[in-house]
Amino acid sequence: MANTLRWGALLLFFGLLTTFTALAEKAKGYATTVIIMRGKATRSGNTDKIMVPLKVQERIKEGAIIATGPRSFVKLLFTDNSQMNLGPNSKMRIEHYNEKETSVLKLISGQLRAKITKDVLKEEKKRRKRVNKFYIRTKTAAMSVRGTEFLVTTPREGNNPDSLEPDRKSSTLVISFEDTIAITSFNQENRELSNQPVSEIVAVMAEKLASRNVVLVSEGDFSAVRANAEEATPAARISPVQFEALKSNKNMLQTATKQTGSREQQFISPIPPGVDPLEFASEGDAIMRALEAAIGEGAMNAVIEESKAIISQKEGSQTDETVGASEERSGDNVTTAEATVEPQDGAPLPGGYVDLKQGIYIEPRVEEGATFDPEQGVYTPNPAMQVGENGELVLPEGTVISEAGELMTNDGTRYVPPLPRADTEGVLDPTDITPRTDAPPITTGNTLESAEGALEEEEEAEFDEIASEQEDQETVNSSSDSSIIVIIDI
Amino acid sequence: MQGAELLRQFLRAKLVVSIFAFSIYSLSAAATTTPTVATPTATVQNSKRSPQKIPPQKSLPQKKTLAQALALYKQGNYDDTMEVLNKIRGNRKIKATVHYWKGLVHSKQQKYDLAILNFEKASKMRAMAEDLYYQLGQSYYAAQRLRRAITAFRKSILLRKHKAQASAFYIGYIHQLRDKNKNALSYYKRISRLKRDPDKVKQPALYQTAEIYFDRVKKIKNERERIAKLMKIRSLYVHAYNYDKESLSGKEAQNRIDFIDKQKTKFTHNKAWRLKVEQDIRYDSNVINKADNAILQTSSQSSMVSKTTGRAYYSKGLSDKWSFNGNTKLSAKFHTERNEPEIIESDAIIYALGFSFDQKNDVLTKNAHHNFGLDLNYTMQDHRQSDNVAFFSRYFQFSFAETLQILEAGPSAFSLAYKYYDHHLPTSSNVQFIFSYNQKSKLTETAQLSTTLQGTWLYGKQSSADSIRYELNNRLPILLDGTDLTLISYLGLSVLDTRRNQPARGWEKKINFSVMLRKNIKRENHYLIKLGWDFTRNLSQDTLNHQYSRHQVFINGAYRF
Repeated sequence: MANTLRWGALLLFFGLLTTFTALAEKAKGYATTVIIMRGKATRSGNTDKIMVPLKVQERIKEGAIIATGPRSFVKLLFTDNSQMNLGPNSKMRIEHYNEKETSVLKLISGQLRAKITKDVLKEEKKRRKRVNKFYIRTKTAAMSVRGTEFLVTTPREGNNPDSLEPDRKSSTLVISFEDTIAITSFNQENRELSNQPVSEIVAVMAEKLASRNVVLVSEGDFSAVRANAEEATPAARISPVQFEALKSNKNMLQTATKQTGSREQQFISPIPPGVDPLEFASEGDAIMRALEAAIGEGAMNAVIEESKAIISQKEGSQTDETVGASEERSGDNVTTAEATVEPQDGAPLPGGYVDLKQGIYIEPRVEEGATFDPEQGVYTPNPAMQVGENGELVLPEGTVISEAGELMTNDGTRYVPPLPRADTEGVLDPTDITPRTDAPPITTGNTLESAEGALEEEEEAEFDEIASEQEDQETVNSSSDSSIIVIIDI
Repeated sequence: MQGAELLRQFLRAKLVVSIFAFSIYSLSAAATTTPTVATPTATVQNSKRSPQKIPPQKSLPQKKTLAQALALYKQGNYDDTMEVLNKIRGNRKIKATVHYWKGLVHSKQQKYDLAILNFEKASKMRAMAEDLYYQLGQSYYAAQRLRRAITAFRKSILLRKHKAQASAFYIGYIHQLRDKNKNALSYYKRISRLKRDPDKVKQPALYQTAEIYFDRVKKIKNERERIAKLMKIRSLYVHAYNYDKESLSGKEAQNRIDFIDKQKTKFTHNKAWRLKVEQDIRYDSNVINKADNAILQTSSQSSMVSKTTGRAYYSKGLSDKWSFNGNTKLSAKFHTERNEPEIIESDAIIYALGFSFDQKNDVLTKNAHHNFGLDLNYTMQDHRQSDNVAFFSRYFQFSFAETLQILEAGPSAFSLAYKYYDHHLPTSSNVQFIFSYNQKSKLTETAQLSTTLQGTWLYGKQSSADSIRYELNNRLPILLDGTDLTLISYLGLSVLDTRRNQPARGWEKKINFSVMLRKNIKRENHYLIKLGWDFTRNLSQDTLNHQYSRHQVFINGAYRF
């Protein structure tokens, strides 16, 4: 019994010692610990600005600046279990950290990927009021987050790998991987608050983030604040393909971005020029009908129910933990993105790619062969642009992205995606060769009518089929139908 | 010993606790990996960087796997959809559908080579998907395998009837890409005939039709011939543009129209001089001595009239915005009836000279023009039956005109002019201020109404000659479709207030109607012939009693070079 008591006392001693040590650590003001590091990274002290090399398991205090080199990466675990991944060539400052209050981070340049824990603050419990866990600010934007995963990027000066200063014309771009993040412009405030204490900055951020002009960025959406802009852009969906790739790239790996060069390896847009990609997309539920035909109606209904349950389960788990900002601003003009075809006023077309280096959204352009994905309600940009394994953008050879988010050639002209080449005979089925004919000869009175003679019998039959499919589709008198091709005698 | 026993007990207790803790941990882990949408996502994400992929899930019911795949697919998580689809086993029907599904996923990921492989497998296994061949055709097209694309689209039309119009457009467009323009035109033409347009391909078909001709014409080296043919093609683009001005094809058509117009303007500017000779022969039922608008004398006599005119135009582009235009005209009018002096005095030789500077600008509206003009005119009448006083009239006129694109129907032009008129009878000399507004309104593709509202304030050397004339003129040319014939109708109304001619002040009302048929004999508008009838009725109520009616029937031939 005495032994038992002795051992119990010993255990109690060590337990208390561990607890006191942990409390002591927190009391010292440590905010975060480096748990993974790749490449080279440095940190400053909480008061001085001298940068010293960073080590794994090193603890970092409030006020410190952390910087990463090229192809480097640092994963930080905060004492509240929130995780922050600082990407390559990035620089951030822990401006204020306290588990009991809203903490403030400043992303000076580069990329920050954060996963904020969803547990509520003690203060919130006491007050029964939602408080944001983190405020993040950049040179142009302020963001508030509660329990979410997101990526925020702000380009470094001149996109120069040796610089970690923010670009003069930089914009801030945020993508939400989970739940919602609130973003608003902080251009003017940053200028006005340059030498103010953090408490003052926090107060202004809180006020700004509770204002009307906050944009809520939901999962799969992005928003951006350009330099000198007064508002964040309305939220819009990015390409699902890039979204998934970025979401999977938790360690912020960077692969060498090779430009797509050889035309033989390129695909062109499956949409011919001048047509509406919405009209040329198959219906979104074609797969449902095909599945039903394969497994039967009863089984299909069960599959649909099951898939709905899966989706609602995922959505339900997310909606519990959203940014409180929206609830705190009843009746405000909050903008959120919907996976709809028609973007809201001022919002770009959804489905485009994000250039993380420049913090620019490249809107899909219908006139450049963007296709439409009816399942997602988004456009897919021309395949001349691709997304790499880690979500990076792969541009066609000899092209760059302009500040306006347009694909330009190196000589400053707008990039024109290629059309199909008519000379790809080698890879074609030799049985499908039809005699080559030319346009109708130029003679007076020669018209499209005379081209009928060139129509192959097979093609005639096809059109008879088309015509027979159309109810009430009698061919109309050419003089009464304005859509009939005008006869021309060239 | 006691210490060792205590240590054993502690270790045993620790083992029990560890087992318990591990069980709790395993259970909780199992709970978190219960198949939900998150399961494959998380597992697959890990599997991307690990050779140990997802363990086989044969135990999962097929419907659950299908449901997972469907949920992931609907959420746009295509990588994970593909992973789940790879696990699905089943009979031929299910396998065929899965191949089709994989094709869809690859197609959304723009991996068209893999999409083709899967669609082809689905086709071989006879997948029951309505858009299988359409999707296959699109993938072939994206992979630039054009002939196979045609085959797939044909099958889509014949077997599945899926997006028949879109498939037909693809076939037409691929024919066009492969320079099989006859076939392409045939498809486009037939598309344009379809009454319904569910895939919205009529306008692209109209546009591509124009493009086929455009590609041919732009290779023509002779500039004159090329411009003439481009002007023909312009109507095709206009046709496509009017179908839907805001669509992609509409905007492209607009670009082409602008391009052709620029080419035409450039050509016109390059070709500084143009000449035109014209011969007009008409029957006039009531010859009016109105050669100069100053004195109006009705003869109540009929006569045949010949009028021969030679014109020269000069045009020069001074810069991108400024251009100079000059024209001169010499014409001689001769009446066959020689008995009445009023008729003979209507014989005249007229010489006119005009200059104008035109500036394009976007100051007020797009495509606006300023125009500054100076016109001179000298008319010599035959006075042999009268006395030896030389009969003449002459004037010069300064004008400023502004053409604006205010209304969508057509351009609006406002002009102000100052005219100094000199006559051999000094009392007939005067000064005129003229304001006019012209509005062109496109009624149909081939008809454009031109309406002019004009007011002329005339101040004579003698105040009794002061007057105000109000005029409303409507000119409606209608191009008869498929021909080079233009039917031109004209209706003019005018009211003249002889303000100070007291006590003879009155209102002179005149109505003028004419109809004319113009034929371009040669395509490039070198030869023109006009036939027409003109009727004028004057309802003057002043003391001069200028009431009269007049019919003219005319034939007019012109040659321009």
